[in-house]
Order: sequence, then C-alpha cells, then structure tokens
Amino acid sequence: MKKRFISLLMSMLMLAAALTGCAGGGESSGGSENTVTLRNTAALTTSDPNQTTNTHEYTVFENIYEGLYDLNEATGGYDLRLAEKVEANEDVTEYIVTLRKDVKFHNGETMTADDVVFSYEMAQNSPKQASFVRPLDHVEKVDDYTVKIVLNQPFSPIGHMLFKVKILSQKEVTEQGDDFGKIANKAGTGPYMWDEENYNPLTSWSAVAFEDYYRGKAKIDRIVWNVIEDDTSAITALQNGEIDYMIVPISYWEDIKSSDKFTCVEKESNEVMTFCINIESKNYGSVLQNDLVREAIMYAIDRDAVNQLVCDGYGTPTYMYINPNYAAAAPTADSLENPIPFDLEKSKALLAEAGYPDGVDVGEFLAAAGRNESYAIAIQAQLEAAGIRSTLVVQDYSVAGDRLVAQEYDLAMAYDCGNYDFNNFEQQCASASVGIKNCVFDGPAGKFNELSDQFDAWLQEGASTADEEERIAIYTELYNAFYDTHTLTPVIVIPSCIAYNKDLDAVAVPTDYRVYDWSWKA
Amino acid sequence: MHRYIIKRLLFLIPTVLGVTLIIFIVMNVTPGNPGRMILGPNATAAEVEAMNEELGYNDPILVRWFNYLKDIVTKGSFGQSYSTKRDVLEELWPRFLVTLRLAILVLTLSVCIGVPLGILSAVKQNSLMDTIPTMIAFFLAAVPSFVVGIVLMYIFALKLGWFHSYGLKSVSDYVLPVVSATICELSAYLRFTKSSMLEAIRQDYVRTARAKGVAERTVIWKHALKNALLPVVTSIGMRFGCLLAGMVTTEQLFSIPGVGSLIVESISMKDEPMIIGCAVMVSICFTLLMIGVDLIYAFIDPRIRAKYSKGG
Amino acid sequence: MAKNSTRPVVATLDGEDINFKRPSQTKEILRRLRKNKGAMIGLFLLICIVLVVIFADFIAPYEAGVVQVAENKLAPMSPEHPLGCDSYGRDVLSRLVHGARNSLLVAVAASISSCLFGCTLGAIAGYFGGKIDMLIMRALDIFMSIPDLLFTMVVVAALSSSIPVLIIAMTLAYFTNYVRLVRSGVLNLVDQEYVEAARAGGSSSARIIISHIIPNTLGIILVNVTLNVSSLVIYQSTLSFIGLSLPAPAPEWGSMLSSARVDMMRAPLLVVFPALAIVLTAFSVNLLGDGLRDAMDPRLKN
Repeated sequence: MKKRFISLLMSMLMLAAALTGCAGGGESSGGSENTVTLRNTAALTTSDPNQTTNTHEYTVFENIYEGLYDLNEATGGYDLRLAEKVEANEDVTEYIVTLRKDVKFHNGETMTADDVVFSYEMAQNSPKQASFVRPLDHVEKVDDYTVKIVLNQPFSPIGHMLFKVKILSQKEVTEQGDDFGKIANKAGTGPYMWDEENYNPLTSWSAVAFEDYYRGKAKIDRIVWNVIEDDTSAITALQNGEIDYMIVPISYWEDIKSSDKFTCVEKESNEVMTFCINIESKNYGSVLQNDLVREAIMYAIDRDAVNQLVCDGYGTPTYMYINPNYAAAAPTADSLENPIPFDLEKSKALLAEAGYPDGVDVGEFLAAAGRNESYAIAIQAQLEAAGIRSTLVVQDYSVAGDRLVAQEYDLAMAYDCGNYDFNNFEQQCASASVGIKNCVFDGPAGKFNELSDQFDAWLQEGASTADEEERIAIYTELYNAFYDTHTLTPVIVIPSCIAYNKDLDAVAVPTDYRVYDWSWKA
Repeated sequence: MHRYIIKRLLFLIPTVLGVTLIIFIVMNVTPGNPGRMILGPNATAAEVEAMNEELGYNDPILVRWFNYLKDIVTKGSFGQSYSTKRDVLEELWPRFLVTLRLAILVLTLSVCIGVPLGILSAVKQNSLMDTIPTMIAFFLAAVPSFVVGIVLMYIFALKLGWFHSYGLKSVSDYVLPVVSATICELSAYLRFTKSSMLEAIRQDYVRTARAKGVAERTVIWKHALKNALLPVVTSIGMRFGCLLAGMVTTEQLFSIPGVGSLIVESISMKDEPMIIGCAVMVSICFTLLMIGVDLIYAFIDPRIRAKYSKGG
Repeated sequence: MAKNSTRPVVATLDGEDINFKRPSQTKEILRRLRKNKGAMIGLFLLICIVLVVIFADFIAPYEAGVVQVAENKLAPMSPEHPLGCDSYGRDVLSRLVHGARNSLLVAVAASISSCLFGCTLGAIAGYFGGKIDMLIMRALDIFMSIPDLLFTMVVVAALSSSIPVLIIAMTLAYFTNYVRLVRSGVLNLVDQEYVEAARAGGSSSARIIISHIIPNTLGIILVNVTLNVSSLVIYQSTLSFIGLSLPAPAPEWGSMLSSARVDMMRAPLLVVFPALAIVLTAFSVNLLGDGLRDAMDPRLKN
C-alpha cells in the first residue's frame, strides 16, 4: 500500500512538472525577417524615462522617446529633433524653441507646447534627472508650437539638457496615472513604440515601428530585447545567431572576431575610467593631503599595463576626464601641461621624500563590483609595487556609489560616461554640483578652498560664453588646474567592441544605438 | 489531527515575525540607504534625506519593524520595491512561479533517478552496481552546480547549438538549467537513500524476516523499503525548500527571472522590501512544506498518526 | 531523525565502561577505516592537499601569485609558470597553492565553529528541556526557514567580505543541523542511569554535558564536521560566483574560478585548475567522511 502511495506521489509530481513545464512554453519570439533581436543586460525597472539612471534602460528608451535635441554618437554633437529651431537671447539665460508641427505621439495625439512644458516639469520633479535640469528655472508656453526655456543662470551648453529631457504626451501620462512607468505606454514620439502585447520587463520586450513617425516609418519593423545577464550566455546567443547586435565584453572579442561571422567594430567609447584620491578621508586624510604622496601615487599608475591587463590593449590610456572625440568644447589631449607619466623609481623617491621610505598605508581602495573592480585590481597592485599599500574593498554599485558621494573612501575607482559637453565636468569641480562628485575641494580640510572658488568662476565663464573656441580656452585652463591637484586622474578610455550580423546595416556606436538608422541588407 | 495541523499552521505567524525581524536587524547594519537607492546618484543629499524621512528609514528599527507588520496586517501589502516601485508581491509572485516550476522539475528528476539508484546500490552493496553509482555520486557532489551549468552551456548551447543559452521561452529551454541543477541534486538523494536503506536492511526485524526464510525480494521491498523511505521523505521536503531559494547560480547563469536571481539583485540594490518579501515567501513555503512532510509521515506511518491524534 | 536517534543509543552500550573499552574501540574504528579503500584514497588525497597548504611557500612563492606582469597575461604553461598565468599575469600555480590556504581555512574554520555553536545550543536545549528547549527549537525552526544563501548574502552585504565575516556567515548557515543532532542525542541520554548517577554524585550540568553526553554523540558529529568541510568548499565557490568572494588580490579557489570564467573561451585551463582543486578537495573529504561514518557504525562490525 505504501509503495503504491509513493508511486502515486511520484506520478503526481511528474504530472505537475509536465504541466507547469508546458505552461512556460508556447510563446515564441517573432521570427519575422524584419526584426532585430538585441541583448539587454538586465531587467527593465521602469518604462518612464524620468525614473532611471541606468545605462541599460537609456539604451532602450533612446529608440522610443525623444527630446528636443538628439545626440549623435556616430558623428558627435547634437541634432535637432522635436525642435525646429532653438535661439538663445543675448546673455544665454533664455531660449526660444520652435517645435515641429508634424510630431505625433504614439497614442495619436499631436505634440504641442503644452506637452513640452509638462515634460520639463516632470523632469524637474524627478530627482534622477536633477543633474541634467540643474540650470533650468522653468519652461513657459509662448504659443502652441513655441516654448520659452528660462534658466536660472547664463548657460550656453544647453544641448545635453534638451537631449536628456524626453517629451511625453501629457494625455497619456495623466491617463496612466500611477501606472505610468510600470506598464507599457504610448507617451513617446520616437520611431518605435512599446509593443503592449509583449512587454515583460523581466525577460523580454519589444517595440514596433511607429507608423506615423514624422521622419518616415523605420526600415526595421520590430526590435526585440531579451534580458541576458550572463556574458558567457550572451556570447553563446550571439554565436548562435540569436542576437543581431551586441557590445562584446573584451575578453571574448578575439574569439568573436576570429569567428568571422560578424561585422566587428572597435571604437573608443566616451566612458572614462578614473582613479580618485580623497583628501577629506577621515582616517588617512593627513597622509593623502601630503602633495608628495599624491604625486607618488600618480607616478605609480601604469596606464599601458592597465590597458594590457584589463582591456587587452584595446583601450586608450588617457589623461583627459572627458573624451574630446565626443564632447563639445573639450580641451584636446595635448593641452594638458603636466601629465605625469608612469615612473616607478620616481614614485618611490617621492614617497621617501614625503617621509615614507618603507612605504605607506593609505587605507581602503573602494570599487564597485564588476567592471570598476577589474581596473581597481590592476591599479591596487601597481600602487603596492611602489610601496603604497591599500586594501581593496569591492562593494555593490549602489553601496560603492553612495560611499563615493558621501566621501567615505580613501582611494577609489570610478567611471563617468555620457559627457557630450565639457561643461559636464562641473559635476566634478563645481562647489554646488549635484550628483556624483568624487573629490571635494572646499571640504573641511580647506586645502583647495581658493581653487574651488576659481573652478566655480571658470565654469561660470564657460557657461555664459557662446563661442566654442573661447570656451575651450577657459576649460583648458580649468582642467590644467584641476589635474594638478592630483586628486582625480583619468586612467583609460574604455574600448567599445561591437559585433553585429553581417546582413545588418547597422551604425555601431559606443552606447546608445538608434535602430531607426539600421536596415537589413537586401 | 486537525488540531495538530492548525497548531502547526499557527506557527506561521511567529515564523513571519521572526524572519522579518532577523532580516530587519541585519539590513540595518548594511551600509547605504534607501533614499539614495530610490533617487539615484544624481539626487542631492537633502532630497535623499527627505526621502529617507518619508520612508521612515530614520525611525528606530523596532518602530520600522512594527510599521512593516502593520502594513501587512492592515493593507495586506509587503511594501513597494525600491527599484521598480511595483508592489512586492506583484513582482515576486511570477518569479516565484518560475522557480517553483524549475524546482519541481529538478526535484522530480532527481528523485526519480536518485532514489532508485540509492536503493539499488544499498541492495547490491559492494558490487559494481553499488560502487559505480556511488563513486559517480561522490564525484558529482563535489562539483559546484554553476560549473556543471557552464560546461553544459559550453557543449550543448555553444558548440552543438542544440539549446538556447538563456531564458525559458520554450520547453527545450528548460533542459539545460534543469539538467545542470539535477546533476548536483541527484547525488544527495542517492547517498541519502542508500544510507537510509542500508540502515533499514540491518534492522533486527529485517534479519528476523530473513531468518524466518522470507524471500530476499520480499524482505527488501516489503520490510526494508517502507522504513527506509521515511527519512527520505523528510529529506525531499527539506531539499525542495532549499531549492526554492537555492537555484541562484542556475538562474543567474541562464538569465532566468526566478526568486534566486531576484534575491541577488535585491541584495545588490539594497531593495529592502523585496529582500524581506523574498525571505518571508520562501520561509512560509518552507514551513508549509515541513507540515506537508509531517502529514505524509503520518500517512505512511500509523504509529506517528496515532501519536498525533492522541496528543493533538 | 530516525537515523540520528538510533545511533547514540547503541553508543551508550559501549559508553558504560568507557575507560576500558575506549582505546580498543578507537583501534577498531581505525582498523575498519583502514580496510575501506575509498576512505584511504580520500585520506591520501587530503594529506596531499594539507601538505600543499603547509609547504605552499616551497612550491611556489606567494609573490608570484599577486604581482601582476602585463607581458604574462594569459601566458600558457611554461617551466617558469607550470600552470600558466591568469588574466592579470599572475602565476596560477602560486595562486592555487596559496589559495588553498584561504579556501580551506574558511571551510574548516566555518565547519568547526558551526559545530561548536550548534552543539552548545543543542546540548543546552536537550539537557535543560522545558521552556528553554522550546524556545531554542522554535527559534531554530524560524531560523531554518530563512534560505541559507539569502541570509549569507545579507550578512556579507552588511559586514562586507573578509575571512572572519565569511566564517561567521557560513557558520550561521550550517549550525542548525548540529542543534537537532545533539539535542536528540542528549534527550536519549539524559535519562540514562549513568547520567543520573553523575548528577546524584554532584556533577554540575555543564560537566555532565561535556563529560558524558558530548562524547557519546561525538562520532556522528565528527562525520558531520568532515562532510561539511566539503560542502562548505563548494558553498564558498557559489558565493564567489554571485560576487561574494574575499577581496582581491587574496587568492582563493572560488574567486579564481568565477573570475576565470570570462576568459573561458581563450584560456579554458584557467577554469579547469581551480575547479579541479575544489572538486578534488570536496571529493576526498566526502570519501573520508563517508568511510568514517561506516567505520563508526558498530553494526558493521561483522
């Protein structure tokens, strides 16, 4: 009897398993020829462009939502998108924006000035957008297709804000109410719209070409994004032809290139890995405020070795915080007057001169898990070789980022991206800067107080100057002074290796691709 | 019997209380704060502080715990995820079903293979039928499950291209994750069944039965197996409970949105409501499973049933 | 449970004239262990591993495992680097043998400390019974229902990863078994005559627990401690996989394995070596532990 019971139990279990197993199947991804399938590295947390700071979400949103400007990563600079014309007043405190009249939202509504005013208010109310809309005071409607953007200070590099703030349909957002962001919506104006039939933010979602798109319907009918977190798993999918376009992690790059199945593009990205020293450190501040120690640290960093070890040599050693290839008004690479090269002996000598002939402990070397970690491992060992001893502390991005903002670190690895105007550098050096600021110059230690005021003055001057040449001159001066504090130093421009289907006419860009510009070869 | 079940079910209340309190205490020591988590790196310190205040994060831990419990009782809500702003249960439930589906498949497969092999190797102790499966089990028990997963993915997804390397879109997608998790589960069942069976075979009454001239087959199947399976049932219940939160590596490797990967993500983002939600969900399941195991026990073993009805 | 409760009862039979039988019993166990081929293989492998741990510095210098040499990135096997180099140009052999120290230290320490912690709780619960017992066991039920991995991760996230933190976190994940084991053992023994005699003779509770009750469950505890070392080695590698490893550059098998994964396509051996080390260790510990269990089982005497 008992045996029968067990076998009954077994067969029930098996039945249940079979049933649940089948329930999971059934849905197959649209295999039509005019689809591109892309990898996304993590689940979508929202569909609201104002509620994210995650790169993997921006990448998706750039195809669905648009701002007044668009960023052209392929050629650099900004293009007019929803705006037809943007004019500044004399002291660059007000901008008059003429809107396109032929723009429709995905829900069929026509875009008017009201939507723009509404969208800017939304962005202003979202702390996640705070750093982008910082110079914005308010936006007012002039007529149905004209708005006036009023700033709280003279500000010429406004392109990034016009790009970052996405214009959403007031009607759609209001109708969805609390659900906005949690479900698919029709609030965008972009060439693709969310496919409400297939919106599974955890695993896979798609977007279909918007019929009424004002620049003409996209050539590719449908984009499917699949969440593949694991790199090995993603590479396997790419190799099997399940993914059409992908940014390839460097360690797989040789393998992908040699497989000869893909169009492979290597690009310099605009992501710069930087190394930070905290002069306000609670425990090691006194050591790190010593100019000689910081200089010794600078001499101990071997950018070429980091490039070899972490980037397989595909990266670009750099001293520039913002890659001039991508950013407007950025000082060029040769404009830095005193770049410190790698020199181990010099480093040791400086350390001895500073009073630490047997090396020095400088506390914790903080890095976020993942990519930053791999650079930190390399640099930590290089410092160690020069006698500058630190303990590597690897934490999740959320915690490590938080500690950076709160200045609770001694040494740290950080990276910055998405800087398309050198004015963005204010985030690192303005005393009033919002968001991640790695090094504080007007802190209690008071070491760089005067310089900090000088930074603010330069930034002010740069932002109120419209002429690019003049701005470059100002920023060059600013950047030289900043670099010479030897607190935050750029190390390497992260390479961007992209592989895509040979039949696909894609435009490879380092981060946010625009599928609108792609097509399948006939 | 009913009273016994009700008593056990009532124990769910202190379980939820205890689990939430423990996680609350540990999370309280964790660096970082929810305000920064919700608002992102671009927010100012003041905004972050205001958000923390609004969430009641600055209250003493016991107050926070009490408020959390109050929300569960009055609103039936486990709070909102910090990262997606969705309701915790809403977010958790589909993921839980995914894991449940996987866990049932893994369990079924490993029980179906592991238990018979275990019985076989106990019955044929010291023969090849014993040493070969036992050695293989020993070996498999020593391999971390993600290593098995990577190897399987390498061979069957990359080199042979038979299966997808991610997701659970079609039935065939279940093969690699389930097999890789099963391979590691399997050996536990084999070893457990074997030792339990050996124990049963050595019992006095089995010897007596043998001595009385009962056919060997009857001895094994009728007398020994019955008793041997009792502890196996407990172990199945336990391991199933562990599987629900324990397939983290499999889920991560194959990008499966289950509870395990949710736990890892939530912890890395310090999404406290979600972490507690996961812990509560899994611990309730675990407790229910244990009750179920006890009931099956009672069903199989009349002695225990008698005890329950008398004592309960 | 059934399994656990039978054993100590049998053990008591020998326990009554402890002084006379103990040496011969140990001898007997050793004799049986020697006859178990599997256990002997396990023991041999383990001795080799322990020798490697002790003489790590003679096999390969620690320095070679932490100093990065850009030119040696993913270098193949060569006389200078018998197992090649990893993606930071560090000598794999050196990392492997020095990693053994960290990996085994954490596993062995966690196994022993979880045993001590669990046994203490279990002995208290079983010996005092009543309210204390109920309290401990209910708390344990609640604790056990929290998924191990979740709890470990939360603890490591709270205290940040280091050797002591890993040991604490793993102890908390592994101690529960011992509580039940020792408690049921104690419950079976508390009423035994010799314990009562000891109590009547004025021995303190702690003394009775330590001198009479613990030794009688020692066998099965020892087996558990051994077997747990193997699952802890694996558990540790799982933790590394989800990102909770010892901070770099400290070599450790789990993190070697998970960090080598990205280079799997071009340098598969980087994955193979640490995996092999983990498997070999866990395998030999399992063999020995299982042999030990068989050898301690009195019913296998004939």
